[in-house]
Amino acid sequence: MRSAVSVILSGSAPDQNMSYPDYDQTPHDHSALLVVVRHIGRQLRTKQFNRAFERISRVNQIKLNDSQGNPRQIWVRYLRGYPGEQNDWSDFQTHRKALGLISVGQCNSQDEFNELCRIHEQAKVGYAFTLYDSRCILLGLNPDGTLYEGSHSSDVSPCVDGEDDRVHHSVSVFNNKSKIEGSDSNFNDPARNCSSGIASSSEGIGTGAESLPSEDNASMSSSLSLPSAVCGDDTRKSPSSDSLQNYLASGSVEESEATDSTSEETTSKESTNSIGTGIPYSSMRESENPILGLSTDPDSRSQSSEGRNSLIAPSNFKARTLFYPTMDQSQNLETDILEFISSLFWVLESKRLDKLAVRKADRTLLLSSLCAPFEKKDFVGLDLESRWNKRRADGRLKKQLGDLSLQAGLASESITHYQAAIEILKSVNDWLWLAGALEGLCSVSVCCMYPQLRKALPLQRNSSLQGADMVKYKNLSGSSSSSSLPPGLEPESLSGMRPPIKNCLSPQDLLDKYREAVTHYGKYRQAGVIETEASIKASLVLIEQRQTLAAAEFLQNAVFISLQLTEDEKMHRFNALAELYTRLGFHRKAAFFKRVAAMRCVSPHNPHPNWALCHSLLLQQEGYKISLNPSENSIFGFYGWPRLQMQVMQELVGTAKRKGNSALATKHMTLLVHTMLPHMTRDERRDFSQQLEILSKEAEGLPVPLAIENGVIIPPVNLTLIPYVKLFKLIAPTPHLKPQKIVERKPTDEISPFVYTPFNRDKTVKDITKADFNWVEGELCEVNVILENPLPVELKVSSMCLITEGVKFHVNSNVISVPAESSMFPATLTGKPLEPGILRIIGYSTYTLGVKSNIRLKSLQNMPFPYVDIEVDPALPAIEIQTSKAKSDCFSSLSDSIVTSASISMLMGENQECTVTIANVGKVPIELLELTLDVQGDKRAFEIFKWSDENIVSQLPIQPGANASFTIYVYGAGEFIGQPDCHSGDSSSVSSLPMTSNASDGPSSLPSRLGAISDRLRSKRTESSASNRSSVKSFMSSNISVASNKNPKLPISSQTKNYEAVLKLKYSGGPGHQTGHFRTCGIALNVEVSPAVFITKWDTLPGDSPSQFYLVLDVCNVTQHEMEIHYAKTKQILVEKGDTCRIPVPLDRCSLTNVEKGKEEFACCEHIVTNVDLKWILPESSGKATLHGITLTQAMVQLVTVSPIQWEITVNGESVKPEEMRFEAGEMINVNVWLRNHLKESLEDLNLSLDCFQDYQNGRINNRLDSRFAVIGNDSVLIPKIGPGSSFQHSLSLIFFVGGMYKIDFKCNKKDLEDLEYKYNPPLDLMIQ
Amino acid sequence: MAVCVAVIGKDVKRPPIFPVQEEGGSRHDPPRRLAAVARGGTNPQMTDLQYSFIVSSALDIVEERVQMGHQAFKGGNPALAAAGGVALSSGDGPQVATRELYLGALTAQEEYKVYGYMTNTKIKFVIIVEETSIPLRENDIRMMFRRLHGAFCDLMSNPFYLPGTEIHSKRFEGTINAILAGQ
Repeated sequence: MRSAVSVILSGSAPDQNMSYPDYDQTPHDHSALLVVVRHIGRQLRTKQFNRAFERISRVNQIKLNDSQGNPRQIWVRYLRGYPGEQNDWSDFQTHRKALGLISVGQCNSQDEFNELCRIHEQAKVGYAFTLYDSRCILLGLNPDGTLYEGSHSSDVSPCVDGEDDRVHHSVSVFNNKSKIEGSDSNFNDPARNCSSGIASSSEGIGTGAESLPSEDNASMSSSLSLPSAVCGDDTRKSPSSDSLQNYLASGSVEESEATDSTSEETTSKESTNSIGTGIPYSSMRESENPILGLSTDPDSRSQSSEGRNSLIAPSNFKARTLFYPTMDQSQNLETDILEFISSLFWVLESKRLDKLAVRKADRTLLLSSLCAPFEKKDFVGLDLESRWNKRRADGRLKKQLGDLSLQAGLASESITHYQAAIEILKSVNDWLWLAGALEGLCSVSVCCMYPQLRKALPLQRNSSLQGADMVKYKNLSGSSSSSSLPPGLEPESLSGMRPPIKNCLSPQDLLDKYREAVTHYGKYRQAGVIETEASIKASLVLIEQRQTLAAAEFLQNAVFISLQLTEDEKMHRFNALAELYTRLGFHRKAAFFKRVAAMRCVSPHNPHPNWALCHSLLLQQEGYKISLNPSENSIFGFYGWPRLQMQVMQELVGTAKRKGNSALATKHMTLLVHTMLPHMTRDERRDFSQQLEILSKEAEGLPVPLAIENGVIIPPVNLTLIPYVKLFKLIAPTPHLKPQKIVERKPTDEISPFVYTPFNRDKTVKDITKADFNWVEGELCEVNVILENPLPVELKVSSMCLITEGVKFHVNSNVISVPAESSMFPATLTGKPLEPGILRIIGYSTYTLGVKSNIRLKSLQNMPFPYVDIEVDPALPAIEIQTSKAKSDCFSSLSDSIVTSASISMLMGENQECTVTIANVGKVPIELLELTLDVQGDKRAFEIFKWSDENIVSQLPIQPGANASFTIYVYGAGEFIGQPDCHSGDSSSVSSLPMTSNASDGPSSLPSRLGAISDRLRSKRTESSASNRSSVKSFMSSNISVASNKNPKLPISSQTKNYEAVLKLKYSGGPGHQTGHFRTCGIALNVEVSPAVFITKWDTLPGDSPSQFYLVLDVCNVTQHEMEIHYAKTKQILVEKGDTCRIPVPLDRCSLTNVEKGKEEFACCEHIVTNVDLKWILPESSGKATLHGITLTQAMVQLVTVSPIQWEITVNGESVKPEEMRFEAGEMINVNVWLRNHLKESLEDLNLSLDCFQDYQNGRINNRLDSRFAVIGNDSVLIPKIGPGSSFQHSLSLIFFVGGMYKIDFKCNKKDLEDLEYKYNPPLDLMIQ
Repeated sequence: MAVCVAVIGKDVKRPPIFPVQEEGGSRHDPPRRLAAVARGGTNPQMTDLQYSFIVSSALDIVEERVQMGHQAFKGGNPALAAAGGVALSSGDGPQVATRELYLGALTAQEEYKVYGYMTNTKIKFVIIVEETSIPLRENDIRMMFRRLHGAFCDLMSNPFYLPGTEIHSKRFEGTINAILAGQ
């Protein structure tokens, strides 16, 4: 015994503590067989290995019948790697025992084959003490061991013969090896086994509960002796059972040797015995080895020699190999694995039975094997025979039996064992094993209660397989008795597991027991890993029970277990904790631990900082609500604690940088700046933006998703806030370049049956995504933006341009510099559409701080539209216009499309020319040009401007770059009739017109007329005759009040009239012309017409001959210059500035022959206007005055018109001259009057009368001359009729008694019409002496 | 010795899509930590930020505890639950009234223990206590919370304080400083 102990001490486990916990363990793993799958050799690609591993791990559950025919369910847990230290605890918890080893490799040559064999052997060494069996899967070889060549792939199925052979060999090998197995487990022959089982029960050491399994065991072992009868169903299994049978049989032979030697010694002895050159760790030879069989067996030799190419395993290679040509041609893999697992099971089962059969007396001997690694020391010098220790060994054995039973699929049995163990161990204060038993009990209960908790990993992976393969595998798995279905889907397993379980723990008990177990584990420092794992398992169960708080407690406990771990392992630990917290729903907690784990990766104590890992861990912190996608943030508003998020993001940036992925760092920094901007202080904003700028120098931020190594795709981050676009507005082309189209208005009347409806039928709500103007192809288009810079530093946007869809659009990029913290910075984005159609503006792109961002309008929160559509019209010409006149300073905007203006200042009656030059600055010729004049207000403007349309049309088309010009003739129209200082239409001027009001004022001579005018005017007239200058002054002064009503500001300039008109040019050409588009532009014409002359008064005087008359005009020169006025062919007059001059204009009388009645005055006016040619000449200009607007009184009309009656008067036989005639008083004067009718119709009922009066020349007339003269004959005569062309003669005599000046008027008026009066002009002027 | 005191606002505005999330409330009421933390703690490397991380991670437990309390109440009063809608509303009254405000130890780090307290208006107080040689008694912790609650009530009585906004009150800070100083 001593020696055995010393061997223990010296031999194994220098590292008594397990180095680190297996965080993936579940309670269910207690019931699973552990198989390690290794990747060996470099020829096999990792992907291939992963596939193989997946397929292998799909075989994680097998069902078979034990020797008594009871169904057993065996679970397998496959691991890719398994630390040896864990294995050392396998005695304490048998599920930690690595029972099987599968290595997968690829070989293409003998050398590689040898190498792989060597590696496999080496791999086995690590698990030397626990391994039951191993397989070496080699790809690239045909099943017969020959090299596989890709060409002949038809022979895919592995050779069945070889398989059978191997089975055969394995049996034989079992025969060889079984003794060792037997020795290891202190095994006896079946009969003995059986008897010992019975004996043990009869000895009554165990309680009643204990006796039950022993009986089972006994029956089973007896059944094992008849293997062929029991295990006949499946040929695949029969070899195993056969081998077991052999093994059991042979084991008895070696019994004596086995009883008193430890396994290690025996195996090493054996190995050295059987193979001299064996590798030291060939102790695993006990797992059967067909190749070894091949090498030793002549049969196999011969077989291998048949295939020439067969690779020959090295002589010391004793593992069984499975050859598959490729992964695809390995349909038998699952079957082989099944076979492998079942072989493991049978060994396990035998071990279980062995343990069960241990005699009570021998149990203490087992104590040495039934101990945790760290306990081994404690047994030195211990009295193993003491009662206390015996009980202890007993308890531990029970516990181990429980473990084994659980693994062997006997759940209820294991519960019995565990409970027994708990009883015993409690009494002996063996806390560690008690804890183990408690945990085991919990595990069984969990397996029974929550079978669905098992990982259903393999089934999910199935989807990755190809369809054909799926079918194949399905068939395969269906044909074999085992099933890879997850337990939850298999009703049998549920029904098979649940009902028979008695004493299964209740959920509440589970919690208590786990707690107890963890508490007991906690008493041992060395059991930290076990405790941690137990805590994790407990929390997993509690998560399932939804007892989150309790689960959190266990996890909290796990945190506190102090383990000696490297930084890397610590990281793993925290990461695992975080994962568990996540499952618990404690996301913040999980995030906390993730961050801790991440920090561990790069902690200063860590010799190998792993920045990449740190980064990927930091990325997983969902608890802090960091979203890498900035658009997610905006959906739910802000989330989480900004300070923490900022910190984590900063860490992300830092790790990404340290990792060497500067693009990633830039991306993270961009995200940080973008999302955290509202939460940053001013300084932070500056710092972070500067950091971003520095980072982006190494790798600029691009608006594309970035994939990092671990498959995470970092979405692009667009800096929508830097700069922030407050306003995004499309700018319509300037009005004169705005394309227009003739839209035919469709009659909308028919749409509605109602004459009126309150409902607006036009439901077309203004679509904000549609611009209400068009752009033109090939011309610069603008979008105005107002930018806001939230940073306290000047922001340089080195490129900002539009993003568009639809028609081709050439984008100009702008460089913008936004001052620090400015909130209203305007900028313009420009571009040029290259073809007509619909252009959709979907966003803009910026390049600032080294980050390129593509920002869509729809991602902007305050943007009212997600995009803007604008129609691009075909190309149109563009023109530039110049005029020969100066531009006016200001003009009232009659139209917004005015491009230029011309300001013309002129005098009334003046003519000027304005040349307009049109330059085609567009790219297409101008094919259409139409001019219209747009006038508002004074329609007189139409008189002012004239142009020639023909001239314009003749110049079309105007090619691009060419010019055309035309002339506008400007005439200074205006009212000449009137007063200076007042408007022509002024009532005062009308009323001031002399004599117009009083038709009854008879005297037709100018002086007599003067007497007839009103006092006011008369005084002026008299003054004017005295001094023209003064009269003008008085005119002005007297009329100021009137004028000021019209224009209070400028009484003098009020006479200057402004005329505004817009000359609209409508032009088109090129493609736009064909589609009906055109452009308009306007020239604002501003004409200032100042008066030059005014006709203040006028009158008519009889002319020198009856066919003529004089139009007497008072012409006032209101200019600042001396003016020469031409008023007749040879007559001219100079008028000083400001002076008024009276000019007689000789005119022919107007014939009224064709004029209707009542329109005589109008006809006379026309006659005067057309015939008076009044020219004024100034030093610099000249013009023509018209008498347009002149009005005539009835008397004037008579003068103007040719009188219907021609007078012929003779005095004393002499025809009358218009001069004074002298007579003596008392002298008889004979007067003869002839009236001749000029008209074509006869004049009837005329009354001819004579009227004598005295004119005092002072405006007074004396008509009372009764006593001063006498008329001989009729002074009045009634003429009944004067025929056309005929004449009437009347004679009379006059005698004057008193001397003096007398005048005689001859009047002829119609009898019934008092007002129609024909006079003889001038009156006879008689001087009586 | 308390090293950190945090006040976390209630949250009622979160969308139910995130039943676990309650920390959104902290947006308008970020956890209030005071400069005294550095003075109170023996570890000078602990910053506000690190305390923030601890407080944040403790909130999960607060939620869980509160939820557990609700469930326990509902389970404990089947009669009330069966009484239907009317009783339900009336049932809220005693529930709130009887709920223990003190939530106990929430979590623990190597050197720190975190205690929680939630008022009936779902204002959460979290106190981080440094584990020193002199263990604090549960009663001391309760006293701290009670003082804190009192101070908070005083603060809420201030008509010029808008609930849910960051706290700027000298008096409140004074109380917290006193708690941190262990007075």
